[in-house]
This record gives sequence, structure tokens and C-alpha cells, in this order.
Amino acid sequence: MKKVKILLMICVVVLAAPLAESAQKELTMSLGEPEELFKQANRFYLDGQYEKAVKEYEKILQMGKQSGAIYYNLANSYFKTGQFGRAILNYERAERLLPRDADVKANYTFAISMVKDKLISKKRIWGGQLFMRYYNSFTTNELIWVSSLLFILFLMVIFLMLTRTFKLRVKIILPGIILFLLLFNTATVYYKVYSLGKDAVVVVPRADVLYGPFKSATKFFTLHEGSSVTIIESKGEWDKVRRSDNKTGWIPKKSVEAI
Amino acid sequence: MMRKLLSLLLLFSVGFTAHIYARELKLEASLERTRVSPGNPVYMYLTFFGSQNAPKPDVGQIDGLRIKYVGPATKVSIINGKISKSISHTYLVIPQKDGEYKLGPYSVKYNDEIFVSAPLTLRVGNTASGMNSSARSAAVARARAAVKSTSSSPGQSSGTSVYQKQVSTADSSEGYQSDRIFVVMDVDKRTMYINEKVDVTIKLFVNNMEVKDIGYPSYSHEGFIAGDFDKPERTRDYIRGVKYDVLIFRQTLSGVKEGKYTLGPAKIECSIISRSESSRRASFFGMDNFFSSRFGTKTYPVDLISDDISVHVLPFPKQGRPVDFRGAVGQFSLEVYPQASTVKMGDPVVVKSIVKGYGNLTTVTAPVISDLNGFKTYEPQVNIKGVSKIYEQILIPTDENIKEIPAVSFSFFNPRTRKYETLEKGPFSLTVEDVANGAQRVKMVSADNTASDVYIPQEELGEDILHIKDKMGRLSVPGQYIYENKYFQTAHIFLVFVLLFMYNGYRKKERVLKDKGFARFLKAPRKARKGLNKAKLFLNRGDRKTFFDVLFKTFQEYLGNKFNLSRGNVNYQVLEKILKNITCKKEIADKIKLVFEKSDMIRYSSGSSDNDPEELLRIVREIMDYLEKQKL
Repeated sequence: MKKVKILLMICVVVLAAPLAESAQKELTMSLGEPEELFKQANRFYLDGQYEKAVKEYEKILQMGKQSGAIYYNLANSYFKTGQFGRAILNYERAERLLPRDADVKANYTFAISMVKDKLISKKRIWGGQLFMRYYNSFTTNELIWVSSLLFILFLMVIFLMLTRTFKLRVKIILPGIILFLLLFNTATVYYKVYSLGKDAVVVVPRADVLYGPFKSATKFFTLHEGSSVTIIESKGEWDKVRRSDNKTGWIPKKSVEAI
Repeated sequence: MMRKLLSLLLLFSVGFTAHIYARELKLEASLERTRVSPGNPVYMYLTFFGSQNAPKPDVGQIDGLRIKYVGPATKVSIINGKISKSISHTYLVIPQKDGEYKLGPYSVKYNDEIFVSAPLTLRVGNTASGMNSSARSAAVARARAAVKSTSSSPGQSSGTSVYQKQVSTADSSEGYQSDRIFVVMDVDKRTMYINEKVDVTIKLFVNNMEVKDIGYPSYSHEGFIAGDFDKPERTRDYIRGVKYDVLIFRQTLSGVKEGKYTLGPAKIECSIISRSESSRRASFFGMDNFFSSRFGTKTYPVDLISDDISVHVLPFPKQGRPVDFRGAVGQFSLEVYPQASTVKMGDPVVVKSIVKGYGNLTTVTAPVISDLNGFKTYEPQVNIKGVSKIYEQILIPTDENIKEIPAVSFSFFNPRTRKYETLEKGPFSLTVEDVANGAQRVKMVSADNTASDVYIPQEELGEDILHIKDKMGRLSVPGQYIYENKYFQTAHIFLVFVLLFMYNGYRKKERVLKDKGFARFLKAPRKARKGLNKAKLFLNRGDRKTFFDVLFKTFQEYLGNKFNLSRGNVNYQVLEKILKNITCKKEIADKIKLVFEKSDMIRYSSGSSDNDPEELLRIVREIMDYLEKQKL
């Protein structure tokens, strides 16, 4: 019994290690330069110097650091400078890190209302509002932790099923349900990670989508700033994009930016 | 032999029938009615008495009439032992214009003899079609007449009808009338006012006939608005002792403008099911075909047409017409319920008015509130429940000096009394309280707990993005996820091993509880270690006897536990077999044997000084270590 306790304690320590590690990193980073840059950027914003604020926020991101608040403030700054495409892009990024933040949602919705292309809509995966609500309500790391907990729960249930007497029905259904949830959640995580770098936003006022990846190709349709697309292929200076109505075409790389 | 017998029977039958048949051959012509209106068809029967093989007379066509052959019907009667038989050829005569027509005389050639019928006269005119006095009584009279003619048909005045069947066919495009199936249309009022609700009844009478595919009646009702037909009602009626199945269709009409109108004639489309008998007449005996005819049916689509009805729609009287009269006709009552007696200025109060009664509810309009000065109003909500029409009028007082909700009135024309009536309720006291500036309410609930919006001027709100965040929050590295962390991965793998370890421990524990031999096996080394330590203790004290006792006892117990042997069975002879099975080293087996021999020697020789206790203890330890290392 003692051995089991010791093993479990080790397990808890090992599991908690990544949290402690990230907390340590956070502490280290929060005390450093990014914090100062963030404060400076905020001051520029309050003074109405939105261009300067944008530069400061971008500096933090160039340092390889990110947070929901940085993207949100950066999006606000872009919005104030009239760059709705980049504003929407950064609201989308902020939403990935702060999925339940009401301010992000409100500003994103408001920015979306400025977009000329009314076809744009949030991507629907497998359909179903319930799933979309779940998908959009958690960050990728939160979903990973959910999967981790479900995995532990699954192991414990299997152990219980092997060591205790239960009805056959319970022995099948209970682990089955947990396993299904685990697989479903893990698939959601996979999709979230997979779609990173695929979803993109048009960042130029107007971009023609062509039938081929060359300038002389026939124009298929036009996208406007802030429209959401999915990058499905890249070739040189061109990206093949798909609009929400499944129309696809080639667009210059500089016209879109991946979320 | 059988043929001869049949021939004899045939001859006998011929002789017999020749004797009993009253061979009075004649041709008679008759009309269902002799006076009809144009378009209303009438049946003509040409009946040949004395034979059923008389051919169909050729009737030709007459200008102004259209004559169609319907079919034959045969009859056999036994009257006072006398058999009489006849064949009746039925024709449908459709008058197309007014006039007096002479039908016949018609002739038929039978057995080289020509038989001639008496001529018939048919008068066609509008006199019979109006049915102004009472359509129903006329139709019933016609039905009665039809019943009468059936009962007094030739050859059936007294005696027993052996078999009678009439097959009637008619073109579906033509109207069809007979005494066995007909339509009667009636309206509960011939004179009515504009908007007055009147009930139209259309009855389908069927006597002993199978009818299917009955459609809803259709009829002309110009100048009227018709409601939907009610669900048809099925009943039974007797007309002069003749039983009829009756299908009743009811509909409500209301006149939309004054004048004289004609309703109908009503037409009902249906199909009559008739038994096939065409082949019956060809058989001499007829029996086979008689039976077979029961199984064969034919369906004849027919259009049944009633008489039309003249009605008069009267205008509303000008005298005594109330100012607020909006065309409601009927007998109504009025109930008014204000939903509140005290309101704040700007708050709504709902006035619920219920107009209830018999009449044309579609013509009922909202009761009028006499004076709406000082109130803001909206279109009232209307709801119809059964015979009630409910109006909910929202009033918003805009003046704090208002003391009452004005009287509510409703005017209608009562066709029974032929007078206008005005119902009035109220006024109702109302207290209006002043409120502080800026207070507004946008939702209110009426008496039936339904919420409704009160429209107030919409506030203009500014639009912009929300402010930036002051705190940077937790920083992370883009594209890095927790599942990539080595600790995270290790922990999950480790957890799997922990649970495997726990499960192994559980299984071991379960085996210990269930398997006694396994339990002894597990405790053998621990117990042996204790025993050896104890023996060593005695050796150190110089107590050699006790040392050997403890040593040998521990050794025996160890082997007993290890191989699950009872105390009496722990000897080398038993162990030798076991050791062979577990492929024990010979050297160890010899040492075990040596220890047993030493044990016996010391026990029975009461201690020998030749034995080195240290050496013996070492050998025992060596044996135990070896056995512990072996996978037994």
C-alpha cells in the first residue's frame, strides 16, 4: 500500500511539473521586457497614437511571446487605424487564447460588421452548434488537459472494472462513454492544432482571387479586407484559398495572413 | 343417359310452363313524370309483358329532347299460382327546351307479331323547377310519388315478387334523378339581410342502393360568401314508410349585397354500384347467371342535382342606424374589462372587450371607445375563441388629469327584431400617477399572461469597440502546446505503469486470500529468516541444543511452506520427488539430504560434537537462497 501511495505521489508531481514549469516561465517573462513594452503600447493607445501602439505590441510578438491581451489590444489599435482586416485577424488570434472573453467577442463581432463580404462566416466543423460552442469555448491547452483528465479517468475506471464486481452492462458502457469522450476531445484538439496556420484573413482592402497562381490568370471572385478564408495550398508567392461557400482560387500571399 | 334425362325435363318444363304461363303479350309505355323543367331528366319505361325476350323498341330521337337507352330490367311474378314475366326497357329522357312532346307510339316485333304501346305526353316548362314554396316538401313529394309508382307497377299489385332488379346507368355528364337516390337543397331563410348568417343544408337521400365516392356538393352562390362545409352528418329518414339513408352537408352563407339571388342547384357527384345481370336473361333457367350476377358489380358515376332556391338579400334599414354601426349582424353581448384602475403616466393599460353571441363574427369590428383624448393608442389585438371575439386595446395615458377610461360601445343589427342595437359599458374610473422624467417601461403583460411590447421611441446608442486590456496576462510561446512537454508525456506513461503495478498487487492479494499454498509459499522466506536469526542467537549464547532444534524446525517449516507440505510430510523422501520435478541442482538436493541426516543424527544421538553448527547454518542459508532464486 505504501508503495502505491509513493507511486501515486510521484505521478502527481510529474503531472504537476509542466504547470510549475510554465508558471516559472511566466514569472520570468512577466518581469522582463514584454511587460514594459505592453505598458508603453497601452500608453500610446490612450494618447491616440495607434500606429505607435501597434509597433510596440508587434515588438512583443516578435520576441516570440504571445497572450490574449496583447492580440486584443493590437486588434483594437489596428481597428482604430482603420485596418479592419488586421484587426479581425488579431481578434481571431485573441479569441483562440481567450475563448470566453466577452470583450474579445464583442469587438470581434463589431469588426466583422465592417467587412464588405457578407459571405464570411465562422468555420463549421462537422456541423452542430453544440460542438462549435464547445470547440470555441476552450483553448487548445485547456482541451489537452481535458483529454489528460479523461485519460486518467479511463485508466482508473478500467482498474475499478478489473478489481470490483459490476454488472456487465456497466463494465461496457462506463468505460465506453469515457473512451468516446476521450477520443472526441482528442480529435477536437487535433483539429484545433491542424487548423492553425490554415485559417486566414484578408488583410488588404481588396484582393482578386484568380483561377491560377499567376497574374494573368482569369479573375474568379474578389475578396475584401477582413474576409475569412482557408489556405489549402501554397505555391511560391501564391496561396490557394477557399471561401466559406467553397469557392477556391489563388491569391497573392501578401493579401492574406494566417491566424 | 344424362342427356336423355335433361331432354325429358326440358320437355316437361316446356309443357308445364306453357300451361301455367298466362301468355298475355302486350307493350306498355310509361313516364316517371309527365311534367318537368328543361334540363331535368325523366325516365321512360317500355315494358313488354308475357316474355323476357322481347327486343328493345327503337325510340329514335325527338327534337327538343334527348333520349338515351339506360338498360333492361326483368321481372317474374307469381300471382295466385300464375306466373307472369316481363322485361322493361328504361330510357332517360332529357328535355332541352320548353314544350309539349309526344312520345311514341312505340312498337316492338316479337314472334312475328308487332306490339304497339300507347303514346305518352311530356310537358316541359319552368313550372316545376322553381320550388319557391318549399324545396324540401316538393322533393319529398316527388320521392313519395316515386315510391308510389314503384308499388303500383304492373304485375305487382298483389302477390309475391320473386325477383326484381333494375339496372340504371347514366352518363356522368348528365344530371340524374330517381326515387331511390336524389338530392334536396334547403336554406333556413329565404329572406335575409346583408351579412346575416344563413345555414344551407344539402341532403343526399339514398334508398337501398350502394353509393360510393360521394363528393362535397357544389352549387352557385353568387352574391354570397360561403364558409367551409361542416363534416357531413349521416342519418336515416322515412318518407311514406320508405327508408332512406341520408347524408347531410351543412354550410353557412352570408349575403354581401342586396338583391334577389338563386342558390343552387346543388350538384353531388358520386358513383352507384350495381350488380351485373346482362347475361342472366340469356339463360333458360337463369339460375347460374343469377348467382354469378351476385359476384359481378358495375360502378356508374352519376351527378345528382337538386332544385335551386330563390332568396332575397335585404339592405340594412336606414332608420335608426347608429353612428358607430360597422355592419355587424347577429345577436351579441358585450363585456369590457380594463386591466388596471391605477397607472403611471406613460404606462399602458389594456382594455379587453369581448363580443359574444350568435351571428356573423367576421363582420364584428372592434368596440368603439368614445373619447380617446389624452390617450395614446395602438391597433387592438384580435382573437376569436368559439363564439367570442376578443379585442385588447392598449391605452397609454399621456395626461395626468385623466380620471376615467371612456365608455366602450358596440352596435349591431339584430335580424330577429329587425332593429339596430347598441351595447355600452363604462366609463371606468382610472387614476393616472405622474412619474419622474426618464422612467420608461417597455414590456407589459396582459390579462391572459401574454407579454407584448409597448413601442417607445428607441434610444440612439453609440457604437465603437471596447477598451484595451490593462493586464498582459499569461505569456506563452506561439505554437507550443502542453502535450509537447516531456514531463506531461512521462507522467501519462508513468501512470499506466502505476496502474499495472497496482493491478498486479491486487491479483497477488486476491491469490493469497484464495490459495493457501500460495500464501505459505510467500511467507516461507520471511519466516525462515526470523527462525535462522533466532537460531543464530542461541548459537552465540552457546546453547547448541536449542540452536539445532530451532535450526531444524525452521528448515522443516521453510520447506513445508515452500512446497505446501503438511508438517508430517516434510522429509527427504517426499522432497526428493518434488526436487526432481523442479529440476533442482543435485548439489543442493544433496545438501538438503545432508541437513535431514544431520537433523536425525543430532536428534537421536542427543548432540554430536562432530557437527559444526556454523557450517550447518551456512548450508541451510545456501539452500534457502537457492530455492528463493528459483522460479517455483
